[in-house]
Amino acid sequence: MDRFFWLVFEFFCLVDSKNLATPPRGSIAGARQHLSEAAKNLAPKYAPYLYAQAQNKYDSAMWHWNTENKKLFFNRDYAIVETYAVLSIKFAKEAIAKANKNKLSTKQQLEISIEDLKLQIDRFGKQYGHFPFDAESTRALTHCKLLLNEGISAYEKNNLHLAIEKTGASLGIINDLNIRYKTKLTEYFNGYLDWKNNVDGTIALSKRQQGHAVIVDKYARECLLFKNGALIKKFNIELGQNWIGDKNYQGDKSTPEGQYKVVSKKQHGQTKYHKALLLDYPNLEDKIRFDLNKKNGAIHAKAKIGGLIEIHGHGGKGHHWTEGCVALTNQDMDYLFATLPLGTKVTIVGSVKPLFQIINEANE
Amino acid sequence: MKKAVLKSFVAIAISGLLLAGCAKAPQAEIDAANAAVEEAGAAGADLYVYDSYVALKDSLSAAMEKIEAQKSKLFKNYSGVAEHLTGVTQFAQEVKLKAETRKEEIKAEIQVGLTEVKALQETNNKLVTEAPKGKEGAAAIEAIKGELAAIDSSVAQAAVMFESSELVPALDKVKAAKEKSTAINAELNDVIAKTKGKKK
Repeated sequence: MDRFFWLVFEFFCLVDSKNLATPPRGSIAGARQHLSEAAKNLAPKYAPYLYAQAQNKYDSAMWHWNTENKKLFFNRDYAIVETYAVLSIKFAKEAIAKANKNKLSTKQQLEISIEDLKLQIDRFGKQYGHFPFDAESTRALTHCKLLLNEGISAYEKNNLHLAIEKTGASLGIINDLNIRYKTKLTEYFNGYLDWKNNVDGTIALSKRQQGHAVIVDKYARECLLFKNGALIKKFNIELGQNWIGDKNYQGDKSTPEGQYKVVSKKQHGQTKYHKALLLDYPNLEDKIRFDLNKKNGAIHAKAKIGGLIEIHGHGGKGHHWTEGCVALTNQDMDYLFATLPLGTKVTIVGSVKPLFQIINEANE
Repeated sequence: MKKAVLKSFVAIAISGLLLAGCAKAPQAEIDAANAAVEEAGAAGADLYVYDSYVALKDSLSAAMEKIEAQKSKLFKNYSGVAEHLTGVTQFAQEVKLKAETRKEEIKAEIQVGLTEVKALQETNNKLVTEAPKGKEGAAAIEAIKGELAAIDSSVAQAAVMFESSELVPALDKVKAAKEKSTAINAELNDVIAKTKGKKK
């Protein structure tokens, strides 16, 4: 009996001498709590690598804990469980810090991007708003604005990745439109030297004759009145819807470019546009160009050259709407009508200013 | 006699020790909790009720820790853990329901939005025909038609996203389209009113 009790006693001493290992419950609970905190701080999105490491270490801690628990209790060793739990806490803390940093910098970057995009769209509107847009460009610009609004909506809901996606797509469209219209503008301004010569010649003639002359600046949408070679008045104007480029045929809604003169004055009642100054379009140059275009097949064989290009009233609508005429407000038209005699030179050009000056002024 | 009683007592004590060490983890409750959490995830809880889903996963992990803690002991007692797991299962079911509800709310919001935008677009297309004709308004009308076409395209994309359950981006798209369509509607009504005013 004594021997039996001694055996039992030795058994418990042996068990006790092994200092039964206790699992690191505190560290594991700490790892879980830090992981949860990291998830709440959106670390899976903003610090995915660190978060994955933290999760991986926690899973390893649990796995080793489970493995050790399968062993006889006096053979267990939880040191590796503790190691993994501590590593998980380390990575989770780093993930939280990185996620917060990335979120803040992403948010700040997005704020800047959104403001920049609004500015770009606004600038595009100011620079090209009066350009004759084709249907595809109109759709693209609307789509660009819709995407910006979607991006702003996502940003306000803190869905930063979606906001980046939408604003990025919007930026892509406005960049494409800018390239497209800058190219059109550059091509159009290839005619600048001719325009400058015509403008200089018109001003010189006004000075020589000590009389009036009119210069129509299509790009600036201005009608400039000169007397004795000096600018005395400016008027806002509206042109044909397809105002870029020269007039090629009747119905193309383009305002012609060239040197003309006033050949007729229509009083109120003689025109449906309040008052009108009829120009001698087509001039010889227009006719030569028209015939050449027809010969080359650039325009239809049955196309007509058109006529009845006037400076008239009913302007002030805020957009280009005429069939090719130059429209002023009735008040401005009254002044011009009263001032200009028959035979007054009217020079219509694409722009009085060179393109680089226009761009510099737009960027100020 | 005394020794025999003592021996029996020790034998019972040792048996008791061994038996206590054999208590089993509540596997049925573990399986039920895991399955419920998975269902909540499949219902889109991580997307629609993210915070609740994080809390749910934390709760499940805490329960698994408790199980391992009991396994570490000589005298295991899983009754508290079983209760915790049952709680996790219930919580998961609540989170799943919340996610499904939120998903349906967003779906309803999108459907209402789509209907409203389509109605607005129909009205706008009709108003465009009433807008002042002639060369004065032609360019503006063409521009508006282009914008309406872009909105139609955006709405169509939103509908596709809705069908493929990309609900959050679909909702943003519908809202942006509705805002733009409403602005065009106001613009057209304004222009038509001014024209009618002038005719008087």
